[in-house]
Amino acid sequence: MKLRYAVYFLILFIIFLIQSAWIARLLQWGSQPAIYLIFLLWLGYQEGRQPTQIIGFLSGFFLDLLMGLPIGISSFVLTLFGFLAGTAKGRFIYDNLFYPMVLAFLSVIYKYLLYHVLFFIFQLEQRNNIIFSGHLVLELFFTSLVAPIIFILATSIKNRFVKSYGGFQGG
Amino acid sequence: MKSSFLSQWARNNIQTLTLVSLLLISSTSIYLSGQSRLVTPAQIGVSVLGLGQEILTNIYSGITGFLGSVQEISDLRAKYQELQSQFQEYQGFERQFAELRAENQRLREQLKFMESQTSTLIPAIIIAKDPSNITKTIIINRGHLHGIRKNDAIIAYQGKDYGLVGRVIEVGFTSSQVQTVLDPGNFVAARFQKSRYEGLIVGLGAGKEMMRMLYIRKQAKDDFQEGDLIITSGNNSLYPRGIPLGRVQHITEKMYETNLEIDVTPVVDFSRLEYVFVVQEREG
Repeated sequence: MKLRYAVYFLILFIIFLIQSAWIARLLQWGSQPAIYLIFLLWLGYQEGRQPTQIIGFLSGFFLDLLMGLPIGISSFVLTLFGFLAGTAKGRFIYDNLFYPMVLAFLSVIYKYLLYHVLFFIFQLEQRNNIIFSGHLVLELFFTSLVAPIIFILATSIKNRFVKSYGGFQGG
Repeated sequence: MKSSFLSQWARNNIQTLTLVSLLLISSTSIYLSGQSRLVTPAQIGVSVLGLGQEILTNIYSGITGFLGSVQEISDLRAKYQELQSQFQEYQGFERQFAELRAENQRLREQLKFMESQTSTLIPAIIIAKDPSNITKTIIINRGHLHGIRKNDAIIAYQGKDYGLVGRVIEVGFTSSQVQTVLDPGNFVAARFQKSRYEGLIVGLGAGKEMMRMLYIRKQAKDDFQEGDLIITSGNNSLYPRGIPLGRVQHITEKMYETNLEIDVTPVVDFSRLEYVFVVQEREG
Protein backbone atom coordinates (compact mmCIF):
# COMPACT_ATOMS: atom_id res chain seq x y z
CA MET A 1 0.00 0.00 0.00
CA LYS A 2 2.84 2.34 0.89
CA LEU A 3 4.47 1.56 -2.43
CA ARG A 4 1.29 2.39 -4.28
CA TYR A 5 1.05 5.73 -2.51
CA ALA A 6 4.67 6.37 -3.35
CA VAL A 7 4.04 5.64 -7.04
CA TYR A 8 1.01 7.92 -7.08
CA PHE A 9 2.96 10.64 -5.36
CA LEU A 10 5.77 10.16 -7.84
CA ILE A 11 3.34 10.47 -10.72
CA LEU A 12 1.95 13.64 -9.20
CA PHE A 13 5.47 14.95 -8.75
CA ILE A 14 6.18 14.30 -12.43
CA ILE A 15 2.91 16.01 -13.33
CA PHE A 16 3.96 19.09 -11.37
CA LEU A 17 7.27 19.14 -13.16
CA ILE A 18 5.75 18.65 -16.60
CA GLN A 19 3.10 21.25 -15.90
CA SER A 20 5.51 23.87 -14.59
CA ALA A 21 8.31 23.19 -17.06
CA TRP A 22 6.63 22.28 -20.33
CA ILE A 23 2.97 23.11 -20.45
CA ALA A 24 3.45 26.56 -18.98
CA ARG A 25 5.85 27.29 -21.83
CA LEU A 26 3.82 25.61 -24.53
CA LEU A 27 0.63 27.45 -23.71
CA GLN A 28 1.35 31.13 -23.94
CA TRP A 29 -2.12 32.31 -22.91
CA GLY A 30 -1.16 32.73 -19.25
CA SER A 31 -3.26 29.79 -18.21
CA GLN A 32 -2.92 26.03 -18.31
CA PRO A 33 -4.94 22.96 -17.45
CA ALA A 34 -4.76 21.88 -13.79
CA ILE A 35 -3.57 18.36 -14.58
CA TYR A 36 -2.68 17.54 -10.96
CA LEU A 37 -6.30 18.25 -9.99
CA ILE A 38 -7.55 15.92 -12.70
CA PHE A 39 -5.16 13.25 -11.53
CA LEU A 40 -6.33 13.65 -7.92
CA LEU A 41 -9.90 13.37 -9.16
CA TRP A 42 -9.08 10.15 -10.90
CA LEU A 43 -7.16 8.94 -7.86
CA GLY A 44 -10.10 9.72 -5.59
CA TYR A 45 -12.40 7.64 -7.71
CA GLN A 46 -9.90 4.79 -7.82
CA GLU A 47 -8.60 4.76 -4.27
CA GLY A 48 -11.10 6.49 -2.05
CA ARG A 49 -10.76 9.19 0.59
CA GLN A 50 -7.91 8.13 2.80
CA PRO A 51 -5.10 7.63 0.27
CA THR A 52 -6.21 10.54 -1.88
CA GLN A 53 -6.30 13.05 0.96
CA ILE A 54 -2.87 11.94 2.16
CA ILE A 55 -1.42 12.21 -1.32
CA GLY A 56 -3.23 15.52 -1.71
CA PHE A 57 -1.63 16.74 1.52
CA LEU A 58 1.85 15.68 0.49
CA SER A 59 1.60 16.98 -3.02
CA GLY A 60 0.12 20.25 -1.75
CA PHE A 61 3.05 20.60 0.60
CA PHE A 62 5.37 19.96 -2.29
CA LEU A 63 3.49 22.44 -4.48
CA ASP A 64 3.85 25.15 -1.86
CA LEU A 65 7.59 24.60 -1.78
CA LEU A 66 7.79 24.52 -5.53
CA MET A 67 5.74 27.66 -6.11
CA GLY A 68 6.87 29.66 -3.12
CA LEU A 69 3.41 29.81 -1.63
CA PRO A 70 2.84 30.05 2.15
CA ILE A 71 3.56 26.55 3.38
CA GLY A 72 0.36 24.68 4.07
CA ILE A 73 -2.04 26.55 1.87
CA SER A 74 -1.95 24.11 -1.03
CA SER A 75 -1.81 21.24 1.46
CA PHE A 76 -5.07 22.47 2.91
CA VAL A 77 -6.68 22.86 -0.50
CA LEU A 78 -5.53 19.53 -1.87
CA THR A 79 -6.17 17.57 1.32
CA LEU A 80 -9.78 18.66 1.33
CA PHE A 81 -9.94 18.12 -2.39
CA GLY A 82 -8.59 14.58 -2.02
CA PHE A 83 -11.12 13.87 0.66
CA LEU A 84 -13.98 15.13 -1.50
CA ALA A 85 -12.68 13.38 -4.61
CA GLY A 86 -12.39 10.13 -2.68
CA THR A 87 -16.05 10.32 -1.76
CA ALA A 88 -16.83 9.39 -5.35
CA LYS A 89 -15.32 5.92 -5.02
CA GLY A 90 -17.89 3.20 -5.34
CA ARG A 91 -20.77 5.64 -5.48
CA PHE A 92 -21.34 5.73 -9.22
CA ILE A 93 -19.97 4.48 -12.48
CA TYR A 94 -18.25 7.15 -14.50
CA ASP A 95 -17.90 7.52 -18.21
CA ASN A 96 -14.70 8.72 -19.78
CA LEU A 97 -16.04 11.99 -21.10
CA PHE A 98 -18.84 13.65 -19.21
CA TYR A 99 -17.81 12.80 -15.66
CA PRO A 100 -14.21 13.99 -15.96
CA MET A 101 -15.17 17.16 -17.77
CA VAL A 102 -17.83 18.26 -15.33
CA LEU A 103 -15.83 17.37 -12.21
CA ALA A 104 -12.69 18.98 -13.59
CA PHE A 105 -14.67 22.12 -14.28
CA LEU A 106 -16.01 22.18 -10.71
CA SER A 107 -12.58 21.35 -9.30
CA VAL A 108 -11.00 24.45 -10.78
CA ILE A 109 -13.74 26.63 -9.32
CA TYR A 110 -13.31 24.91 -5.94
CA LYS A 111 -9.57 25.44 -6.04
CA TYR A 112 -9.75 29.17 -6.61
CA LEU A 113 -12.57 29.71 -4.18
CA LEU A 114 -10.77 27.89 -1.40
CA TYR A 115 -7.49 29.63 -2.11
CA HIS A 116 -9.22 32.97 -1.85
CA VAL A 117 -11.00 32.02 1.35
CA LEU A 118 -7.73 30.91 2.90
CA PHE A 119 -5.97 34.02 1.75
CA PHE A 120 -8.69 35.99 3.43
CA ILE A 121 -8.79 33.97 6.66
CA PHE A 122 -5.06 34.07 7.11
CA GLN A 123 -4.88 37.64 5.88
CA LEU A 124 -2.29 36.82 3.29
CA GLU A 125 -1.33 39.16 0.57
CA GLN A 126 -2.94 38.08 -2.65
CA ARG A 127 -0.53 38.12 -5.53
CA ASN A 128 -3.12 38.20 -8.26
CA ASN A 129 -6.86 38.08 -8.26
CA ILE A 130 -7.51 35.37 -10.76
CA ILE A 131 -11.21 34.96 -10.02
CA PHE A 132 -13.47 36.79 -12.46
CA SER A 133 -10.60 37.13 -14.88
CA GLY A 134 -9.97 35.66 -18.30
CA HIS A 135 -7.38 33.31 -16.82
CA LEU A 136 -10.00 31.43 -14.87
CA VAL A 137 -12.15 30.99 -17.96
CA LEU A 138 -9.17 29.68 -19.90
CA GLU A 139 -8.16 27.31 -17.11
CA LEU A 140 -11.73 26.03 -16.85
CA PHE A 141 -11.77 25.44 -20.57
CA PHE A 142 -8.38 23.74 -20.78
CA THR A 143 -8.90 21.60 -17.71
CA SER A 144 -12.31 20.39 -18.87
CA LEU A 145 -10.86 19.64 -22.26
CA VAL A 146 -7.88 17.70 -20.97
CA ALA A 147 -9.72 15.82 -18.18
CA PRO A 148 -11.07 12.93 -20.31
CA ILE A 149 -7.63 12.37 -21.82
CA ILE A 150 -5.96 12.20 -18.40
CA PHE A 151 -8.64 9.83 -17.14
CA ILE A 152 -8.24 7.50 -20.09
CA LEU A 153 -4.46 7.67 -19.90
CA ALA A 154 -4.30 7.07 -16.14
CA THR A 155 -6.73 4.17 -16.31
CA SER A 156 -4.83 2.66 -19.20
CA ILE A 157 -1.49 2.93 -17.38
CA LYS A 158 -2.95 1.43 -14.27
CA ASN A 159 -4.51 -1.47 -16.16
CA ARG A 160 -1.43 -2.19 -18.22
CA PHE A 161 1.47 -1.73 -15.82
CA VAL A 162 0.42 -1.43 -12.25
CA LYS A 163 -1.67 -4.56 -12.19
CA SER A 164 1.21 -6.62 -13.47
CA TYR A 165 3.09 -6.01 -10.25
CA GLY A 166 1.47 -7.95 -7.50
CA GLY A 167 3.41 -6.12 -4.84
CA PHE A 168 2.29 -2.80 -6.10
CA GLN A 169 -1.31 -3.95 -6.09
CA GLY A 170 -1.09 -5.17 -2.61
CA GLY A 171 -2.95 -3.15 -0.06
CA MET B 1 -14.20 1.15 28.87
CA LYS B 2 -14.05 4.77 27.89
CA SER B 3 -10.72 4.40 26.11
CA SER B 4 -11.92 1.39 24.15
CA PHE B 5 -14.99 3.39 23.03
CA LEU B 6 -12.75 6.24 21.86
CA SER B 7 -10.41 3.89 20.03
CA GLN B 8 -13.40 2.22 18.41
CA TRP B 9 -14.75 5.60 17.33
CA ALA B 10 -11.35 6.62 16.01
CA ARG B 11 -11.10 3.43 13.99
CA ASN B 12 -14.52 4.03 12.52
CA ASN B 13 -13.74 7.63 11.64
CA ILE B 14 -10.14 7.30 10.66
CA GLN B 15 -10.65 9.14 7.38
CA THR B 16 -12.31 12.12 9.04
CA LEU B 17 -9.69 12.23 11.74
CA THR B 18 -6.95 12.12 9.15
CA LEU B 19 -8.61 14.90 7.25
CA VAL B 20 -8.98 17.09 10.33
CA SER B 21 -5.40 16.39 11.35
CA LEU B 22 -4.00 17.19 7.95
CA LEU B 23 -6.06 20.36 7.69
CA LEU B 24 -4.89 21.43 11.13
CA ILE B 25 -1.29 20.80 10.16
CA SER B 26 -1.79 22.75 6.99
CA SER B 27 -3.46 25.65 8.80
CA THR B 28 -0.74 25.80 11.40
CA SER B 29 1.87 25.75 8.66
CA ILE B 30 0.18 28.61 6.90
CA TYR B 31 -0.05 30.60 10.09
CA LEU B 32 3.58 30.04 10.93
CA SER B 33 5.19 30.18 7.53
CA GLY B 34 3.41 33.20 6.15
CA GLN B 35 3.82 35.28 9.33
CA SER B 36 0.15 35.88 8.91
CA ARG B 37 -2.44 36.89 11.42
CA LEU B 38 -5.84 35.30 11.55
CA VAL B 39 -8.87 37.14 10.47
CA THR B 40 -10.82 38.68 13.34
CA PRO B 41 -14.54 38.08 13.96
CA ALA B 42 -15.14 41.74 13.12
CA GLN B 43 -13.52 41.24 9.75
CA ILE B 44 -15.68 38.20 9.10
CA GLY B 45 -18.74 40.17 10.11
CA VAL B 46 -17.80 43.04 7.87
CA SER B 47 -17.10 40.62 5.06
CA VAL B 48 -20.39 38.75 5.41
CA LEU B 49 -22.30 42.01 5.77
CA GLY B 50 -20.36 43.50 2.90
CA LEU B 51 -21.13 40.49 0.76
CA GLY B 52 -24.85 40.81 1.50
CA GLN B 53 -24.74 44.54 0.84
CA GLU B 54 -22.87 43.96 -2.37
CA ILE B 55 -25.41 41.40 -3.53
CA LEU B 56 -28.30 43.75 -2.74
CA THR B 57 -26.52 46.68 -4.34
CA ASN B 58 -25.83 44.61 -7.44
CA ILE B 59 -29.47 43.57 -7.65
CA TYR B 60 -30.57 47.20 -7.26
CA SER B 61 -27.98 48.36 -9.78
CA GLY B 62 -29.04 45.61 -12.15
CA ILE B 63 -32.71 46.60 -12.00
CA THR B 64 -32.07 50.34 -12.28
CA GLY B 65 -29.46 49.70 -14.93
CA PHE B 66 -31.90 47.60 -16.92
CA LEU B 67 -34.66 50.20 -16.67
CA GLY B 68 -32.16 52.92 -17.45
CA SER B 69 -30.92 50.94 -20.43
CA VAL B 70 -34.44 50.65 -21.83
CA GLN B 71 -34.87 54.42 -21.55
CA GLU B 72 -31.40 54.91 -22.93
CA ILE B 73 -32.12 52.69 -25.93
CA SER B 74 -35.27 54.69 -26.61
CA ASP B 75 -33.31 57.96 -26.36
CA LEU B 76 -30.55 56.58 -28.52
CA ARG B 77 -33.04 55.47 -31.16
CA ALA B 78 -34.57 58.95 -31.27
CA LYS B 79 -31.11 60.49 -31.38
CA TYR B 80 -30.08 58.07 -34.11
CA GLN B 81 -33.09 58.98 -36.25
CA GLU B 82 -32.43 62.65 -35.71
CA LEU B 83 -28.80 62.24 -36.68
CA GLN B 84 -29.75 60.12 -39.67
CA SER B 85 -32.10 62.81 -40.98
CA GLN B 86 -29.40 65.41 -40.33
CA PHE B 87 -26.91 63.29 -42.15
CA GLN B 88 -29.21 62.93 -45.15
CA GLU B 89 -29.74 66.68 -45.12
CA TYR B 90 -25.98 67.25 -45.09
CA GLN B 91 -25.54 64.75 -47.88
CA GLY B 92 -28.05 66.78 -49.89
CA PHE B 93 -26.11 69.95 -49.06
CA GLU B 94 -22.91 68.31 -50.13
CA ARG B 95 -24.35 67.22 -53.45
CA GLN B 96 -25.83 70.68 -53.94
CA PHE B 97 -22.51 72.26 -53.10
CA ALA B 98 -20.67 70.05 -55.57
CA GLU B 99 -23.23 70.85 -58.22
CA LEU B 100 -22.94 74.58 -57.53
CA ARG B 101 -19.19 74.45 -57.64
CA ALA B 102 -19.24 72.65 -60.99
CA GLU B 103 -21.80 75.09 -62.31
CA ASN B 104 -19.71 77.99 -61.12
CA GLN B 105 -16.73 76.60 -62.95
CA ARG B 106 -18.72 76.19 -66.14
CA LEU B 107 -20.11 79.72 -65.90
CA ARG B 108 -16.63 81.15 -65.36
CA GLU B 109 -15.49 79.46 -68.55
CA GLN B 110 -18.51 80.81 -70.40
CA LEU B 111 -17.84 84.31 -69.09
CA LYS B 112 -14.22 84.16 -70.10
CA PHE B 113 -15.19 83.08 -73.58
CA MET B 114 -17.83 85.80 -73.84
CA GLU B 115 -15.37 88.51 -72.90
CA SER B 116 -12.93 87.32 -75.56
CA GLN B 117 -15.43 87.73 -78.43
CA THR B 118 -15.86 90.84 -80.58
CA SER B 119 -19.53 90.14 -81.28
CA THR B 120 -22.25 90.86 -78.76
CA LEU B 121 -23.01 87.61 -76.99
CA ILE B 122 -26.15 87.15 -74.94
CA PRO B 123 -25.77 84.20 -72.56
CA ALA B 124 -28.70 81.82 -72.32
CA ILE B 125 -29.59 78.56 -70.70
CA ILE B 126 -31.29 75.72 -72.49
CA ILE B 127 -34.59 75.23 -70.71
CA ALA B 128 -36.12 72.58 -72.96
CA LYS B 129 -35.30 70.14 -75.71
CA ASP B 130 -37.64 68.58 -78.18
CA PRO B 131 -38.69 65.42 -76.36
CA SER B 132 -39.70 63.67 -79.59
CA ASN B 133 -36.16 63.98 -81.00
CA ILE B 134 -37.68 64.59 -84.41
CA THR B 135 -37.08 68.28 -85.05
CA LYS B 136 -33.82 68.78 -83.12
CA THR B 137 -34.98 72.07 -81.68
CA ILE B 138 -34.23 73.52 -78.28
CA ILE B 139 -35.74 76.28 -76.14
CA ILE B 140 -33.57 78.93 -74.48
CA ASN B 141 -34.48 81.27 -71.64
CA ARG B 142 -33.92 84.46 -73.56
CA GLY B 143 -36.53 86.19 -75.76
CA HIS B 144 -37.78 89.48 -77.06
CA LEU B 145 -37.33 91.06 -73.66
CA HIS B 146 -33.61 90.36 -73.86
CA GLY B 147 -33.24 91.65 -77.39
CA ILE B 148 -33.29 88.31 -79.15
CA ARG B 149 -34.25 88.46 -82.81
CA LYS B 150 -35.34 85.83 -85.27
CA ASN B 151 -32.44 84.15 -87.13
CA ASP B 152 -29.87 85.15 -84.51
CA ALA B 153 -27.06 82.61 -84.48
CA ILE B 154 -26.54 80.46 -81.42
CA ILE B 155 -23.10 79.26 -80.43
CA ALA B 156 -21.77 77.29 -77.50
CA TYR B 157 -18.45 77.12 -75.71
CA GLN B 158 -17.39 73.70 -74.48
CA GLY B 159 -14.03 72.97 -72.99
CA LYS B 160 -11.64 74.94 -75.14
CA ASP B 161 -13.67 74.99 -78.33
CA TYR B 162 -16.74 76.79 -79.46
CA GLY B 163 -19.05 75.99 -82.29
CA LEU B 164 -22.33 76.72 -83.98
CA VAL B 165 -25.45 75.37 -82.32
CA GLY B 166 -28.13 76.73 -84.62
CA ARG B 167 -30.37 79.76 -85.16
CA VAL B 168 -33.39 81.31 -83.53
CA ILE B 169 -36.52 80.44 -85.46
CA GLU B 170 -39.18 81.73 -83.07
CA VAL B 171 -38.88 84.49 -80.48
CA GLY B 172 -41.15 84.51 -77.46
CA PHE B 173 -41.34 87.21 -74.81
CA THR B 174 -38.84 85.59 -72.47
CA SER B 175 -37.83 82.48 -74.41
CA SER B 176 -36.88 81.48 -77.91
CA GLN B 177 -36.96 78.39 -80.06
CA VAL B 178 -33.71 77.37 -81.67
CA GLN B 179 -33.30 75.14 -84.67
CA THR B 180 -30.01 73.31 -84.25
CA VAL B 181 -27.60 72.45 -87.01
CA LEU B 182 -28.54 68.80 -86.49
CA ASP B 183 -32.07 69.50 -87.73
CA PRO B 184 -32.61 68.23 -91.31
CA GLY B 185 -34.41 71.47 -92.15
CA ASN B 186 -31.47 73.66 -91.24
CA PHE B 187 -29.03 74.51 -94.03
CA VAL B 188 -25.83 76.36 -93.21
CA ALA B 189 -23.46 77.85 -95.76
CA ALA B 190 -20.07 76.41 -94.86
CA ARG B 191 -16.51 75.99 -96.07
CA PHE B 192 -13.36 74.08 -95.26
CA GLN B 193 -11.13 76.17 -93.09
CA LYS B 194 -7.95 75.15 -94.93
CA SER B 195 -8.93 74.40 -98.51
CA ARG B 196 -11.74 76.99 -98.54
CA TYR B 197 -14.10 74.82 -100.59
CA GLU B 198 -17.68 75.84 -100.00
CA GLY B 199 -20.81 73.77 -99.55
CA LEU B 200 -23.95 73.40 -97.50
CA ILE B 201 -24.20 71.68 -94.15
CA VAL B 202 -27.44 69.97 -93.24
CA GLY B 203 -28.37 67.96 -90.17
CA LEU B 204 -29.14 64.26 -90.46
CA GLY B 205 -31.97 64.52 -87.95
CA ALA B 206 -33.54 62.00 -85.67
CA GLY B 207 -31.21 59.78 -83.67
CA LYS B 208 -28.03 60.99 -85.37
CA GLU B 209 -25.80 63.65 -83.93
CA MET B 210 -24.25 64.10 -87.34
CA MET B 211 -24.33 66.55 -90.22
CA ARG B 212 -23.59 66.18 -93.91
CA MET B 213 -21.78 68.59 -96.20
CA LEU B 214 -23.23 68.78 -99.70
CA TYR B 215 -22.22 70.23 -103.02
CA ILE B 216 -18.49 69.61 -102.80
CA ARG B 217 -17.28 68.49 -106.18
CA LYS B 218 -15.38 65.26 -106.65
CA GLN B 219 -12.35 67.07 -108.01
CA ALA B 220 -11.78 68.66 -104.63
CA LYS B 221 -11.40 65.39 -102.71
CA ASP B 222 -7.62 65.47 -102.70
CA ASP B 223 -7.58 68.86 -101.03
CA PHE B 224 -9.07 67.82 -97.71
CA GLN B 225 -9.13 64.83 -95.44
CA GLU B 226 -10.83 63.39 -92.43
CA GLY B 227 -10.51 65.59 -89.36
CA ASP B 228 -10.45 68.87 -91.29
CA LEU B 229 -12.41 71.71 -89.71
CA ILE B 230 -15.48 73.15 -91.40
CA ILE B 231 -16.61 76.66 -90.54
CA THR B 232 -19.49 78.93 -91.48
CA SER B 233 -18.86 80.85 -94.68
CA GLY B 234 -21.28 83.68 -93.92
CA ASN B 235 -22.57 83.65 -97.46
CA ASN B 236 -26.26 83.28 -96.72
CA SER B 237 -25.92 86.07 -94.13
CA LEU B 238 -27.82 84.08 -91.53
CA TYR B 239 -24.68 83.14 -89.64
CA PRO B 240 -21.57 85.18 -88.97
CA ARG B 241 -18.56 83.88 -90.84
CA GLY B 242 -15.82 81.79 -89.28
CA ILE B 243 -17.79 79.93 -86.64
CA PRO B 244 -16.61 76.31 -86.33
CA LEU B 245 -19.24 73.79 -87.37
CA GLY B 246 -17.63 70.40 -87.29
CA ARG B 247 -14.91 68.11 -88.51
CA VAL B 248 -14.86 65.73 -91.45
CA GLN B 249 -15.54 62.23 -90.28
CA HIS B 250 -16.08 60.26 -93.46
CA ILE B 251 -15.97 61.01 -97.22
CA THR B 252 -18.16 59.04 -99.64
CA GLU B 253 -17.69 59.12 -103.37
CA LYS B 254 -20.57 57.68 -105.40
CA MET B 255 -20.09 56.72 -109.03
CA TYR B 256 -23.36 58.23 -110.22
CA GLU B 257 -22.98 61.48 -108.28
CA THR B 258 -20.95 64.49 -109.30
CA ASN B 259 -20.53 65.61 -105.69
CA LEU B 260 -19.07 64.03 -102.63
CA GLU B 261 -20.99 63.13 -99.48
CA ILE B 262 -19.07 64.27 -96.48
CA ASP B 263 -20.21 63.25 -93.01
CA VAL B 264 -19.37 65.84 -90.42
CA THR B 265 -19.16 65.49 -86.65
CA PRO B 266 -20.31 68.68 -84.93
CA VAL B 267 -17.81 70.57 -82.82
CA VAL B 268 -20.45 70.99 -80.15
CA ASP B 269 -21.41 67.96 -78.09
CA PHE B 270 -25.17 68.38 -78.08
CA SER B 271 -25.71 65.65 -75.50
CA ARG B 272 -24.15 67.77 -72.75
CA LEU B 273 -25.18 71.18 -73.91
CA GLU B 274 -26.38 73.47 -71.11
CA TYR B 275 -25.34 77.03 -71.85
CA VAL B 276 -25.36 78.85 -75.17
CA PHE B 277 -24.75 82.35 -76.48
CA VAL B 278 -26.95 84.29 -78.82
CA VAL B 279 -24.68 86.08 -81.29
CA GLN B 280 -25.58 89.56 -82.40
CA GLU B 281 -23.26 91.36 -84.79
CA ARG B 282 -22.34 94.78 -83.48
CA GLU B 283 -23.74 97.48 -85.71
CA GLY B 284 -21.34 99.92 -87.26
